[in-house]
Amino acid sequence: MSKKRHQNLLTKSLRNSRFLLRILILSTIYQHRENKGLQRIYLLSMEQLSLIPPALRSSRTLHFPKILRERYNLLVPRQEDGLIVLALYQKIRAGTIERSFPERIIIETIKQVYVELGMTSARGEETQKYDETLHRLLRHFLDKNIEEKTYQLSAYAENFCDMLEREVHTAINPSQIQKTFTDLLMLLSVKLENMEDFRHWYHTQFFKHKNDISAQLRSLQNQIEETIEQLNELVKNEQDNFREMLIGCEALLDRVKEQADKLSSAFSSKDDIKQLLDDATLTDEFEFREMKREVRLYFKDIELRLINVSHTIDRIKPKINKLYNDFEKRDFDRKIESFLIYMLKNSTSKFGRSKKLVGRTVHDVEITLPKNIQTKDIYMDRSKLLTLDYMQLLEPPPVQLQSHDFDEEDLKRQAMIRQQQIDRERRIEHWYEKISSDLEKKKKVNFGEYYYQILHKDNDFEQAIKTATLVLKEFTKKEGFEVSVSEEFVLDPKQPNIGIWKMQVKNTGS
Amino acid sequence: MENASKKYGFLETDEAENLFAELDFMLKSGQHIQNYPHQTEFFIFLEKYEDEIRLYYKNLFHVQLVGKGTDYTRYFFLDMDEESRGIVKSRAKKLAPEYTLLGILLLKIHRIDKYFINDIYVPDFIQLIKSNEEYKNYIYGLFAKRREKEATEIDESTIDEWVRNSLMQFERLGWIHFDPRNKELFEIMPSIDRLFTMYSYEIHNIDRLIDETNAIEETTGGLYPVEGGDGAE
Repeated sequence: MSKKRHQNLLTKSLRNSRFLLRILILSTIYQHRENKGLQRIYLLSMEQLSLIPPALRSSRTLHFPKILRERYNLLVPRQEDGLIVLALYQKIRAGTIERSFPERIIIETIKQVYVELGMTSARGEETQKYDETLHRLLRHFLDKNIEEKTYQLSAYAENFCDMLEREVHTAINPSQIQKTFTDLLMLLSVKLENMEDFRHWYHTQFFKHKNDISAQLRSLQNQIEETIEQLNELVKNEQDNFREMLIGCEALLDRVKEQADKLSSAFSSKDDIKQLLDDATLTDEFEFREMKREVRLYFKDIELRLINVSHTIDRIKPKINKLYNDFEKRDFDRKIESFLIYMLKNSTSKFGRSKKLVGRTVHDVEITLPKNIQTKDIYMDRSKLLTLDYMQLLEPPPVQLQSHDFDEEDLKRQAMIRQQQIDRERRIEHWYEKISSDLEKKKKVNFGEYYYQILHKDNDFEQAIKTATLVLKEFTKKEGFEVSVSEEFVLDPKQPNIGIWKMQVKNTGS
Repeated sequence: MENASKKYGFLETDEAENLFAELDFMLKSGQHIQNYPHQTEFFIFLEKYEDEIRLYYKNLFHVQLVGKGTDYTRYFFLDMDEESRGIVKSRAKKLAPEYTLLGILLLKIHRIDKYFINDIYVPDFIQLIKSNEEYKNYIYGLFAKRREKEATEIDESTIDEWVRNSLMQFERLGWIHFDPRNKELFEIMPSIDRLFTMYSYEIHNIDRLIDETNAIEETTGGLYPVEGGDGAE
């Protein structure tokens, strides 16, 4: 991370003073144990803070210790003061100045910070301003060695700087977290005998470590946010080293994910802590139950945050892949886009009559591609329509042909039979005509006579019978004629085996 | 004879009995086959006997079985090569200009925008086309000879019709696939890339094409012969 960026983050954190107040109070208690007076104050405030949630829930007024309210503005430094302290802290750590330093160093640092923040003072006012700043810092952040006339950062200042740095840039250390949990667990196992011990565990060990753990998680989240910011920058501004930066971002995310996984397994002993609390005999105590609830809520919160980290990364990853692809294809994509616009812009259209379709009318448009672009062939050996119905129309199923076999030799016989039938029909017709004309003359005929004549002349039973049928049928329905049949046989000596009912046809019309 | 039967051994498999008639029909209808649920069987069969099937089409029909893409983007289709182009010209069909235009638009969406990851709802798609600042004016110009704001119902229907007809054509080609349960939803198939391979020369040389066109425009003062009758601008 660049120095400036780091500074920006620190500045941001400084503004968040309410939040700082909380972490300062919660975390400094441990380090300030030597300072007995202070310890008492902080322990007091700790006690109070631990009881704040119920107070908040019941909307009661808050009762901060008076001393905290009065000193707030000195304990939580204004932005420029905080940065001055931080600059001194970093200089000492880097070895550019000694742990004990003369006033000159402080003034120099004040000047540097003011320049950095663009805070200029009118001529002649500077000295006074430096002096005021120095005095403010002396209340909590600087210790003065009166004999040697040198200054040192107070333990509070060191803690303050440490907290700031940890908040914005904590080294993720899963093995450390694991150790922390083991310690917490071990201590808890011997602090569950009475309420006082447990209270101590809760307010000191748990609260201290809780902040370490939270800091680690916040750090993970910050890393992700930074990476997202970088990615956004990358997308917005096309940079020359796009690919390298993308690889960097991806590696960073991989690392965050890996750390999240490690942290997740490092947190596994929290379940043992929960178990210990559940098994404790102190459950009857209201205060215990409240504290236990806080612990459980906290663990739950950690879990959710870890899951959230993983989810965020899972969501970013595909986008990074897309960026990669985009990079690879950027030129290519630009060309496809240009091609599309080119085609749309330079194609032309011709309009025919409007077409009426079901429920709508459309223009009949004939599109022509730009002159230098050809339409392309697609191999298509079949109709473009795939629907089976249509294909059946195109290729109907084969018709079943019936084979007709002819027996040539038999044809003559068949022709002869047919000829005989035709001849018979002619003869029947002839006899019918004859009977009809006789009836005109005689008024009455006996069909039997004709019958035997037919048999005698043509020697054809079938012909005789068919003639009889025809005569009966025709004259029965013919107006002016009457047919009578009596049950007496008309016989012919020449045809001894045949007999026929006596049938008479009378002409009644004329 | 024995050699010959081994050459197209795939024809004698059980799979071929079940699949090949339809697969052959699909391929010869110009359809592209890819590894998507509705075509998986055919795709697996093609991959399994790829070489034999290629020979089969090459020797007996003088067309190439082409496989493009890798893994999930792999697809097969029949195409004419330089050699067969003359012989089987009659078996080719031109992709109509209006289909070509919509195809390139789909290709652009598929490869660049990826607005829709899976299914595209046809009305959404039409809406997108009609509202895209980059190209909507060209589209209204082509299909309505009007600007979007002046478009009538007939103009709107014409564009809808163009989109829907093109999509139907693309489904026949296997470039998209409509959800069988909801015919208003479709998915772009990997084989839409075929259109890219068809125009890859033009796409790679688009800058030169634009320059050339601009040069013509300059020499003619931007005047083109007026095409079409009514309302030509």
